[in-house]
Amino acid sequence: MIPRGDIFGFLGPNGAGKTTTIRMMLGLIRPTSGSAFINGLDIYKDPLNALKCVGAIVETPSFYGYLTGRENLRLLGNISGGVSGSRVDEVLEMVGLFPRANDKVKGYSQGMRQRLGIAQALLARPEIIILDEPTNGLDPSGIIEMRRLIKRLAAEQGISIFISSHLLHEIEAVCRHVAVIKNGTLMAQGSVDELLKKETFCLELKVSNVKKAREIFAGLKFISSVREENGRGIEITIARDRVAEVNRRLVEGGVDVLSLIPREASLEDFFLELTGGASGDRASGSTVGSGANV
Amino acid sequence: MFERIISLTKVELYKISKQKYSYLLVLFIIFNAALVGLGSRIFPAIMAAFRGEGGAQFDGYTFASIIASGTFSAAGAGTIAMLAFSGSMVASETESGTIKNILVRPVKRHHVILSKAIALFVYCLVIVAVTAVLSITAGALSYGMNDIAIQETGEVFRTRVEMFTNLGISFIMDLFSIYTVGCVGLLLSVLINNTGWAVITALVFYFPVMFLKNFDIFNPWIFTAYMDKGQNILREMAIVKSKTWTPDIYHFFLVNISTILILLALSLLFFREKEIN
Repeated sequence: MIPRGDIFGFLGPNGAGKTTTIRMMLGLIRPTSGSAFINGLDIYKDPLNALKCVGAIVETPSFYGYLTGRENLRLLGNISGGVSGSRVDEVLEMVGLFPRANDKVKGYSQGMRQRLGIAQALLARPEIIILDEPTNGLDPSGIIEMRRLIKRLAAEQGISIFISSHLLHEIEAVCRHVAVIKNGTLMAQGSVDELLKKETFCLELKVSNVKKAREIFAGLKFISSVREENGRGIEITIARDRVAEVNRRLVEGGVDVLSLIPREASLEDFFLELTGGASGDRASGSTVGSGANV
Repeated sequence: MFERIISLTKVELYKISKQKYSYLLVLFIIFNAALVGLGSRIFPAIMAAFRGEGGAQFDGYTFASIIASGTFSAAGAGTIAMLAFSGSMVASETESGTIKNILVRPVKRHHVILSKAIALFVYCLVIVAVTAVLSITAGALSYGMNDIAIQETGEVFRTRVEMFTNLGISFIMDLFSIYTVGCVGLLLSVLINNTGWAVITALVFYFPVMFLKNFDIFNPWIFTAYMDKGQNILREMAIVKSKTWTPDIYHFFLVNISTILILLALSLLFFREKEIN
C-alpha cells in the first residue's frame, strides 16, 4: 500500500525483479500467479480503469525521434484521451522543456528525454506515477534536478510516486517509504525511519590488524554485516547494546582498536544487511551519493 | 469503441506522415512503375506479348494495366515496399520501447493492432492511388483513352466510361492484393521484436508463399495467385468482348478477404498475449 502523495522507493539489487514487477503492475507482462491493484482496481481484470490513474516510465523513456517533444506528447495525449494542447504545454513547462518543445527528440540529451518521460507520465493528470530508474544515465546535476522535480510533483500536485532504483542514496534522498526486494521476494517494507531505527546501528572501526579483526567478527553472530573500507578500516552493523562487547572481543583477540565511531545507519546499511551485501549496488549508490553532493 | 480506434488510427497516420521512409517507399514504387512504362514503350514486342494476339494495336487502358501490374504483381515494387513497411510497424515500436508508452495507457491491445491495420490500409490506398494516377496518365498520354472498337468494323465494344469503371475495379483489386501482403508483414511484425529481422523474415517468408501458386493444389486458395488478377482481367477486357469480371472477381475477394481476416485475427491474438519487455 502506497500512501497518497507519498514518494515510495522500490529497492533491489540488479536482477532482483524491480522492472519485472513494474511491468506486471502495468500489465505489460502477466504474472504466473497473484495480482496487482492500482487504486483498488485489479490491473488484470479492469486494466482500462486501473491505468487511467497511472502515468509511467518503464526503463529508459522512448519516443519517436523524428517527432518533436510537443508532437510526441500530443500523440500520447491523444492515446490517453482528453488531453488538451494547453495541458501538453503545461507539462512541458512543468518539466522545464517548454523552450525545446519544438525540437526533434532525436536531438535531445538523455536528461531531456528523462524529463520528457516524466512529462508524458503527467499528461493525463495521474494520481500515481511509476518511475523505473528515473535517474539512469543522468549526470549529477541532472540527478539533482530530477530529485527536485519528483519532490515538487509529490508536494504540489499530491501525486503518489513509485520509484524503483538500485541507487540507494537517491531513494534515501526522496522517499519516505521503501520496499526492498531480492530475487523477486519482498524482504522488507515500511517507512525509512522505522526500518532504520528498528534494525541497524553502525560502527566505523580503525584497528591495528584488519584481517584479524575480520576473523574475530566472523565468529560473532550478533554482527549482521562487515564491510572493509578501502583497507583502512572496517564498518560493521550491530545492535546498539553490543558496542562495548565488540571492543572487548577485539582487544581480547589481540587487535588494538585505534578508533571506534558510532554512526546512524543509512538505507545503504540496511539494504546491504537485507540483501547480504551486493557490492555492485553499493558501489553505484556511493557514486550517486558523491555526485549528488557536488 | 469506434471513437477510440479512430483516434488511435489518426495517431498512426500522423506517425506515418512524419516518417521519411513512408515517402521513400512511395517514390520507389513510382520509380518502378516508370521503369515498367518506359520499358514497354522502348520494347513494343513486350506490349505485343501482353496483348497476346500478335498485333501492336495498343490502347491506353492496356498500357496503364501493364504499368500497374508491373508494380503490384507478385515480385513487384509494391509488394517489397509493403512487406518492408508493414514488417516494421509493430517491431520497430517494440524494439525502441515506444510501444510501452502506448500500452501503459488505458487502451485495449486489440485497438492498437486494429488502428495499425487501418492505417496500413490507408497507406496501401495512397500507394495504389499514386500508381493509378501515374499509370492512367501514362496510358492516356501514350495511347489515349477512348472507346475501344473492333478494328475491322469500327464497332465500339467497350465505352470509355465502361473502361474507366474497369480500371477502378482493377485498382480496387490491387488495393486488396497489396493489403493482404501488408497483413503478412503486420503479423510477422507482431511476432518478431527486432525490426530488421521482422522485415527480412517477411521478405524471405513471402517468396516461398508466392511460389506456392505454381502448384495446382495451392493455386486456387493462395492469395499470391491473384496478385495481378485485376489488371490481367482489365487487359483482356480491352481486347475480348466476351470477357467479364465474374466469376474471377468473386474468387479473388473470397481468397483475399479470408486471408486478411485470418492474418489480422492471428495478429490480434498474438499481440494480446505478447509480453512487452
